[in-house]
Amino acid sequence: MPLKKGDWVRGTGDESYAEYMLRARRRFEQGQVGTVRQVRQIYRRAAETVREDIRQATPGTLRYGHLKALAKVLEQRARSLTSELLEATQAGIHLASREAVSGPEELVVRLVEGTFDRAEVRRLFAAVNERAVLAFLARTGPDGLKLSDRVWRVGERYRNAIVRVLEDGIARGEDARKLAVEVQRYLQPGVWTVHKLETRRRLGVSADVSYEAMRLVRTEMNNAFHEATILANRASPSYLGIYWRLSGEHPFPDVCDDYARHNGDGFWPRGQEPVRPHPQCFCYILPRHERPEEFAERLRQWLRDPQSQPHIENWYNSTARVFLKRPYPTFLAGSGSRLLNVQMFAEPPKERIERLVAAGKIPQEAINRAEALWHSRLREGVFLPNGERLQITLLDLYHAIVDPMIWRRPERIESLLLGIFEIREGEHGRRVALSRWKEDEQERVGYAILGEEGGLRTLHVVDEKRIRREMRRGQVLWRR
Amino acid sequence: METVRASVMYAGPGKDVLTLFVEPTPSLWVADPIDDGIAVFRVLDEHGEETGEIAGVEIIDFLTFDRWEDLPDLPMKWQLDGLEPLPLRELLRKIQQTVRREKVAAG
Repeated sequence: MPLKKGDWVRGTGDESYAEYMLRARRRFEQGQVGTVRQVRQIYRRAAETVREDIRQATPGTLRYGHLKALAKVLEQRARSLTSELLEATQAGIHLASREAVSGPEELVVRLVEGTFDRAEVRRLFAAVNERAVLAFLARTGPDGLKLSDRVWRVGERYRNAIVRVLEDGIARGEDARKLAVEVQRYLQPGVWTVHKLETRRRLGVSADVSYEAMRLVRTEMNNAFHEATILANRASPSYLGIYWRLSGEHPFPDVCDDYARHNGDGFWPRGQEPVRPHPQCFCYILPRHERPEEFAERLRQWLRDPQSQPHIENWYNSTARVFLKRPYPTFLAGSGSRLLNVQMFAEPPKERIERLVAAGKIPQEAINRAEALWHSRLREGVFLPNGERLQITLLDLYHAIVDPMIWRRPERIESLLLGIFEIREGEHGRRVALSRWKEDEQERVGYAILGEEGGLRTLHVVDEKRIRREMRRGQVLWRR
Repeated sequence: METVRASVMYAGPGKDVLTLFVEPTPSLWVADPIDDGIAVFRVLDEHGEETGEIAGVEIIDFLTFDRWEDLPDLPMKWQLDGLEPLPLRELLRKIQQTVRREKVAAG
């Protein structure tokens, strides 16, 4: 049944992707035709070979004695046929899987462009393809057989059919040359008129011995395409599920009709896609994906905060992470702003304070007190004991009160600075100011890092052990 | 190696002090300066005693920081939102690359 582009567009939400999927499907169907043609040629060559084998058995009438010698040769021919048939079928399965995977692969490459490396995405889908093929070749079907077993059975039936036709010919006293031609015609694909129906029934042979092989190849390729389509789409983060669509070759209602009516429109959510319910099923599935623009927005949110998009995060962790490097958050550049807000991974001190207040980690009252103190005592700067005036910006305040030792007692900022007893040289023009002051009858110690040109880099309340350690470092620049 | 969730506090190239916090950050910690450019924040219990855990790391002059070998060898990986867990040095290097790039872009 010709597939309609409109169907694909409805399912994928994207016209160019739908076009790509449709072309992949057509390539698969052409590949299937080519593989079946190859099987015909295998049988045609085999028929010619068997004819020669029979002709060379004897110039005269074929006897049962000749059949014994022929049996070994026929065994060999059947094995060759089986081997060629298996090779052709496996090649067909590889083709089916490749085409089935190519659609979702292209979709994902486009959807995540700029977020994930294209080559890495392709590697992901190459692995999906390999997994699909290996799983398909190794699995046991509902008949309890693997692919190789099914092909072997076809070869066995082929050999048995030849033996039966030969036995019948021998019983009729046929000349070897005539019998050889009869067998060759019988084995030729598509030739149905060599034996009458009652003869075929009597002999227990099929009308077209190659038909079973061609049917096998078509079925296996269809199944491989079906399974690989589902596997590959499941590897896509935008995938939602499939629509089951009936093939045109569907004369009688069966379980496929139920599948096509499921959910009212034949939709099966991701993870619940049904397997092909019977051999020779030519129904097809249409994958459904999130609209590209909707997915793009969710991907952007995931980049900012992976936990905000658990479905994408789960897809990355379970499917993608072996192949795709986790992207670094992207920055938002404020237009015209020289100081970029690195909000994707970093928060300025004030934001951190606000977050901690919102989380109940710091009381708002403490922040209010600190701000009030800054306004009243720090805004104009603080005169240090060495005579230097140190500017304390509001940013410096917020940076300082992140320290729990400071936000609990914000007056410690001024106390620390006024209690500086030693300033030592640091690296790159920094200065380490060591401080000691009294607080509630207790001695407190702390340090401040000052910039080369003034300015407060950081300050912290510490303990005596750490102050003593600092007093062993760097050249003394000033001492009280 | 343990992985901890982390957050970064950074006010920009002007102040250029980068602080990496364990999240959720314990409510009580004390700064332990390694030197004038690096400090480790050590967690305290309700008695003011160190518990052995780390609350964070502070780096001054982060844009030009290059003394990676002076950073403490902490037996943990740090995971920022959107990034894979990384050891301290590797994480800070990556953040520095990004911050430097943004500074250049800002002109």
